[in-house]
Amino acid sequence: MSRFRVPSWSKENWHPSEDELFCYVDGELKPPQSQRVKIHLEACWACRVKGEKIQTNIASFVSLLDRAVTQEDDLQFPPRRWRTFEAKASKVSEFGRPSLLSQWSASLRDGFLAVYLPFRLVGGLALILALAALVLRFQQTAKVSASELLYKAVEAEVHQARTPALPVVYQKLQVRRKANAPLREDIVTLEIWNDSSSGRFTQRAAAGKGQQVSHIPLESLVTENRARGHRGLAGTGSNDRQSGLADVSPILLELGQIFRANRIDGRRPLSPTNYETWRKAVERKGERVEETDLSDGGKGLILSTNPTGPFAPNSIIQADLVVRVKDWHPVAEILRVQGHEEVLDYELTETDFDLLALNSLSPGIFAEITPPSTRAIPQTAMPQQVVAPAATELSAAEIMVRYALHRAKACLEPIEILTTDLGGIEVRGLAETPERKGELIVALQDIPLVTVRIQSLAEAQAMMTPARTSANSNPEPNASTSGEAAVVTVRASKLPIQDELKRYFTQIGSDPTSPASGSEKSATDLHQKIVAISSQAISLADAALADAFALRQLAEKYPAVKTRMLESSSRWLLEAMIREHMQAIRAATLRSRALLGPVLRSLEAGNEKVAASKGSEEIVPTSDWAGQVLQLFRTIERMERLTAFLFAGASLPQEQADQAVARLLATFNQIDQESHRLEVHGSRPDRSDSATLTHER
Amino acid sequence: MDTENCLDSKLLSARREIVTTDQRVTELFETMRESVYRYLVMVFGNPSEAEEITQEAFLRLLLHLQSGRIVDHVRPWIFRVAHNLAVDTQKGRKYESSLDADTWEECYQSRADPDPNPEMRVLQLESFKQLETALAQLSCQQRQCLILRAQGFRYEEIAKILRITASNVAQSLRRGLKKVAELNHE
Repeated sequence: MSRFRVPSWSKENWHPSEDELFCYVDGELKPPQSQRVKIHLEACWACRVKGEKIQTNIASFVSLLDRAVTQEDDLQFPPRRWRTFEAKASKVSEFGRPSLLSQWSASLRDGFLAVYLPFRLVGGLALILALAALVLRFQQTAKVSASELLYKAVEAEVHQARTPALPVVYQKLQVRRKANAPLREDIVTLEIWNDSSSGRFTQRAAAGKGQQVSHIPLESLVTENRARGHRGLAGTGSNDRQSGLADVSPILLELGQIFRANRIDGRRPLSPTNYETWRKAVERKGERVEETDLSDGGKGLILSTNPTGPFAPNSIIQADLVVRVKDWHPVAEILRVQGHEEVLDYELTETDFDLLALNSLSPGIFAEITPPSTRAIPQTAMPQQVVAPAATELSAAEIMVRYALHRAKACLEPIEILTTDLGGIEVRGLAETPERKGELIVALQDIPLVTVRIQSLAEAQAMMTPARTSANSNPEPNASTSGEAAVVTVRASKLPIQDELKRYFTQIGSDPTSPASGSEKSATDLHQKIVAISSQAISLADAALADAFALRQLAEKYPAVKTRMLESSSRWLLEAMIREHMQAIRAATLRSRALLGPVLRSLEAGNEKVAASKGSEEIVPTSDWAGQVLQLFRTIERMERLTAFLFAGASLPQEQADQAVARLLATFNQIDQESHRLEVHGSRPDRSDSATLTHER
Repeated sequence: MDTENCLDSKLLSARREIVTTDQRVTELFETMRESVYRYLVMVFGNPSEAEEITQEAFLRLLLHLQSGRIVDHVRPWIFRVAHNLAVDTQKGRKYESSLDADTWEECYQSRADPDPNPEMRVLQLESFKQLETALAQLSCQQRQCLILRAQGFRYEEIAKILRITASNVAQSLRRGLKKVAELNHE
């Protein structure tokens, strides 16, 4: 018997734990352990029975679930039956994330009225009363959030400013200053002309309601005459001071100081863009939007923003912007300002507004206050800062400039962004046409701390000496920014793959039934096809390279360390630019690959010498964001060179030319990998680790 | 997980064709909404809130994709977001509820065409009460694990959705099933 005392199973006196057995039965145990458990179960009755019991437990739960919740059960039908999703999705797509206020409003509308009401009616009078109170409250509250209101008002303002035939925006404002102690009220009438085509502007003011005194040209809301000291007035004519200055200037001077202290552009005192700029700069604030009736009987909305104190003198402690709902035009603004000893209210009410053609104005209207030195290059006037702006403000303004240029598709136009000694930012450069110049000036005009010095090519050529005209003024050859199909002329000389392309297009287009007489026609067709594919290939490669270059510029300007020091709004703008460039690169590469992939693979298959070669460049992994961007740029540059060689006959070193087809195919793969790596990196300069799914919430 | 692969490939194409991201998400919503909604109702109760949360989870997916970010596995992602939203909503309300008879009745009433057969309804109510009693005996985590497993999720996925370990998932499932079986035998 002794030989039976050591059976094989007893050598391994081991049983799977309950959890191990459960995982095994549920198919969740990994191969080495699952094999061990499987062998064990073949030998061990006790564990096998336990395993079967687990299986029974699973079966009974599934059966219970099935009986209670069938396929056609009630749980498939939620109360509102998914009615609102598509509308919400399209709203998100159109406007971005809905604001909290509108979400709250929507849930109040949908939730209470559609769901709870039918079921809770029987719940009692209390709920109905609560509901009525809420509905009443809801009706009193405007149906737009502060952000939506400003978005619409800014959009309307920008749209107005882009009317080419009527570039001058004329505004007549009544400015009232109210003080409580002693009780008094002062009124000034202010007229403003803004020429959006060139960035020129002028203002005139009159005491009272505009009838008492002659107009006085003023720029007090914009600049302060340093020669006259802090209390000085930047009028151009000394006679003006004698004709009512004492009445007119104090309010406007104060207002100018308030605008400067709060970083508001004084050229447009009543402007939603200005309001938005100020509002964004206020970190802690309360906001509300209310409906109101306007004096002309129309409907208006009042947006009130209350920053949280403490307040320094000249700080705005409340700003109300009144917007006409019909066309989202601002009609009034009330600024409550902390004075040195009292709180003052400044009420700006629009009494007249018009869009004017330049020829309807007297020729000298803008000349009255524009300094002679700036005539050659019209510039937007910049508020003279009493205190030099902080580094973060400058960085924020610079990012806003870059973003505005990005939106205007001017990332690669020959435009420089410089920091001036006076603590501002100067945007200097050339625009191809006067219209383009106007567009860029409009895009940049509302950014604080910025001076714009952009010339059209014609203006620059007129100013330059003949020796400098051609060499320096041309944009870089790769500066194609718009992504539109560039016109590419394929050289008359033979392409390196001309014969292969002909063979390819003949094969894919061959029709055995076609008569031989059509051979001349088919030769023309072939040529046209080659020209078409070449043009598209070059355009797409150029577009990808342009975006890669813009991305590289951003990476060089904002490497990781510097980006962490930016404000969140600036980081958001930077991320948006990076994201859009990445999307454009991927789109151009995908299109390019779809266009050329079949052709190149066919050529590669038919050419053993080419097929045998290894075209891929070795990727040296780099962990930092800027390094990855640079790597992507170089790969795209190589793709552009190879495309230009194969499809436009550009020159290429012999060792690269031999393997061009395989190298181009490999380069597409490499771009795909590198852009994917950058996306996984989060497309954020300040992100050092992979963050694919870390911010779902 | 063929369905999931199919969803992921759909999503992949959604990423490449930026213009149609919202359409793709709408398609995904139509494919997956019932399972997400069912999970939320069975674990957290409150059908109307579950509907809102389901929609919100898909809207977040849309925003996530529109911002250029990537979702590797969309189904677990959606469940995780929906689960977290439901947990946050409950925290805000300071009480916890699960599927109960009232909720079920509410679901039943909300049907456009309630089943006219009273016998069927009684039978279904009976089964439902059994399930309700069984689920009520379970801890919240056991309930969540069981419903997610019944939806076809693997342990690793459940662990990610609920932010627990895979061994915790196994333990919760085993104990949960044991409790349900004991109740059935009683």
